Amino acid sequence: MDFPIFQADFFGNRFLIALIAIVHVIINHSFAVGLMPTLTFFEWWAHRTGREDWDRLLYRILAVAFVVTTSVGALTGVGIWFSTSVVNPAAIGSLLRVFYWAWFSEWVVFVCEVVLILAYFLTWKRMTGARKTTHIRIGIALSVMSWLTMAIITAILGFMMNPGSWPQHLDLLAGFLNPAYIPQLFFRTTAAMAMAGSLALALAVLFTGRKTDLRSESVRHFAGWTLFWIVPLTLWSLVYYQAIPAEMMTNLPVAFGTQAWAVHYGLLLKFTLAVALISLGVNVWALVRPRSAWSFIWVVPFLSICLLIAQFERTRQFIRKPYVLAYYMFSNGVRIDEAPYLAKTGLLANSAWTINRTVSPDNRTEAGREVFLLACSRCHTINGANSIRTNLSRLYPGQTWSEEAIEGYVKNIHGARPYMPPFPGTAAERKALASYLAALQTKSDRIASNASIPRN
Amino acid sequence: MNDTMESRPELPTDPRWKPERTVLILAAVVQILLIGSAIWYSETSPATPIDTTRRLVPEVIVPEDVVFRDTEIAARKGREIPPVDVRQAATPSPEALNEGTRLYSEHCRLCHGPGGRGDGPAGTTLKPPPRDLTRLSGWRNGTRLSGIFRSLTLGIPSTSMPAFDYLTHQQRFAISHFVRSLAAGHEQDTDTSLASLDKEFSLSQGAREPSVIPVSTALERVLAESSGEPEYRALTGNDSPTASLLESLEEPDGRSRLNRILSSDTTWHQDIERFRNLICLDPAAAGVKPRVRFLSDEEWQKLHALLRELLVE
Repeated sequence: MDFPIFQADFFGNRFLIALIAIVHVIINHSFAVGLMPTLTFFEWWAHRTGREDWDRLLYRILAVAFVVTTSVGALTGVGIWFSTSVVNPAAIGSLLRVFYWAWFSEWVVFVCEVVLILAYFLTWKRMTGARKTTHIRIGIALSVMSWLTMAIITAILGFMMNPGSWPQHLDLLAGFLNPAYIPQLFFRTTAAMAMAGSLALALAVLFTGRKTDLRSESVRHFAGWTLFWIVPLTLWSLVYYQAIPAEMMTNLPVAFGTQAWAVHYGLLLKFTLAVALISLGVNVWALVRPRSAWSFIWVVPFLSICLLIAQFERTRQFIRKPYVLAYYMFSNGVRIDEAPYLAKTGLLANSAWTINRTVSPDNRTEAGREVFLLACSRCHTINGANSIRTNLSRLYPGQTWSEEAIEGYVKNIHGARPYMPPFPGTAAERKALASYLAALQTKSDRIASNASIPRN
Repeated sequence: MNDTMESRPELPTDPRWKPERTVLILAAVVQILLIGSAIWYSETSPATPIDTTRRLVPEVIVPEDVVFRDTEIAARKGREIPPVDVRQAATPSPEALNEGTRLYSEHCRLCHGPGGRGDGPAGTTLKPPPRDLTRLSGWRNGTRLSGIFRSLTLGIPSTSMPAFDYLTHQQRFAISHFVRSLAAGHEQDTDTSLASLDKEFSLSQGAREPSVIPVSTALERVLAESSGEPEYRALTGNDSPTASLLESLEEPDGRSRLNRILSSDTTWHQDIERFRNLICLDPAAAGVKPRVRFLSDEEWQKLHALLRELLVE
């Protein structure tokens, strides 16, 4: 509790991160990690078979990827670390201590990737003839570097779900090779390949003429490329599914479909499966009848696979709740080890940026507001996404909660909702929080983004 | 671009080379590697057995009352608990049922649902799910009124059912009556079961709950009392310039800190340099403003004399 509170009270902090992160994952996987080897492979193939029309098509697809990855891709990549650092500095600080050299290597690899994509794109038209082989080698190096950036970050993502033997060894390698790492790395690699195939399919439609041979040939080839990765992708996602810690599985319905939709988990699962099957069907259709369909249908696989990967990211992010770093730190930044100490000595007194240090009869509601900021606001807003006011009224339709009822509920919050962390303060602070939440039902409150006021 | 492409000198010259074959071999190798490694990994990595007793969050830290139950009970103001006529309270009455309906709706409905079927909105994800109060099998404390009262008072450990010990005895009886009205066929209390309930919670005795404070707070108070710190006397009545200098230097509520620093040490009584160091080393800890470091020698002498007068003589 060493940092001031940043609060995006309309969007919600989680949504802010999710928006940036999901856009980044889609761009990273489909436009970079997957697309670079895809283009390199087809470039090699076009070169060996002497297909210049293919070479031109691939260059155009690369042009799109070049612009998207170096602008939105790079910005959202850095944006993830900016947004997570302001929302939960304690969590990012902890990760930095474990993964310092990994992050450093990431930076080096990323710079190499940028240099290589510049070289790959800008020399495409110049390195022809005898130099084409060298150009293909640049493509291979670029593919390796793109993959490495993902391979490093995946270790950190896996660590957040299950740190494995790190608590015993406390070294980088133990954290890097966490139980979720290898399955997730293979899952993401194969998913990236399939995504790139679908993306190339969608872009090929844009860059080829209707009813041309190049159109039907590219549709068939890129769909074939996507289908090629489907079986390994399915197998590795099953392996990954098994690597999720068993005790987190109770979170799955909520993780998959949010609290509001958790009761319809079965329905959502069927819907997701349907999306996957439609995508599969369109790809098979492309193989069999590359000429006989409307153009826009070839965009469907990419859209559906983006939807699926976004759904996967949401589930992965949520399923480790109540932790932000599994078995180490709760979502609100409270370390599991310090929780008993805070319960004894108080959350307010141990936080650097609070005005009310203890709870007294005069400041109960004000202190409760600060307890809310410290203990709840990483995930909840007052008026926006995942609003605490709406959550309260939804639980108790048409009535207001009494302070005692809220207090009793908060006391037992982890038992009632396994993905909620246990309340991290003293009984007096819990009562203060209840007083604030009870007041919120009738009064409005606004939380500025720089919610904690500096003390003099 | 077309020109350069067309003038490319060495397209594959070996007529035996077939790109399809190379691609097929490459594809087969990649598939075998990926599928094989997936199967190998799932076979060799230890399967995580589904262990329902394994908890996501170690029990020791939820909730805080449990951790420090022995020493760190929350501070609570004492209260009178009026005696209850158990026999009368155990007899259902329209008033008790009305009161019970109101209280049920406020404290229980959220999880147990409006009709008591365990289908409240907050109960959907509980493990174990909230009890269906209309079905009478498997109740941890039995279906007697006394059993329901006991569940309400103590909660049910390792479930989400909390203790409602902050409600009065009468209110708990009222809820119990309402719960019994949700279905028919509950067990009836006997004289002995009522007597043992009475004894367990001293219902007909009434009680006086004393005010309680946590042991750590008590320890602090005991330490403060036994250290015999002399509070330095109020400065009221003393309107000398030195007294107002001291007042202007003190942090709000800094007086006790200055007092503690000065009474933990006697060497400063005769030694003005020692006095100066004690305070200037860490003005915040001494409860005074940092500008104390910039006082003149003359001011230090006066301050030393004043505090000696207040604390020592």
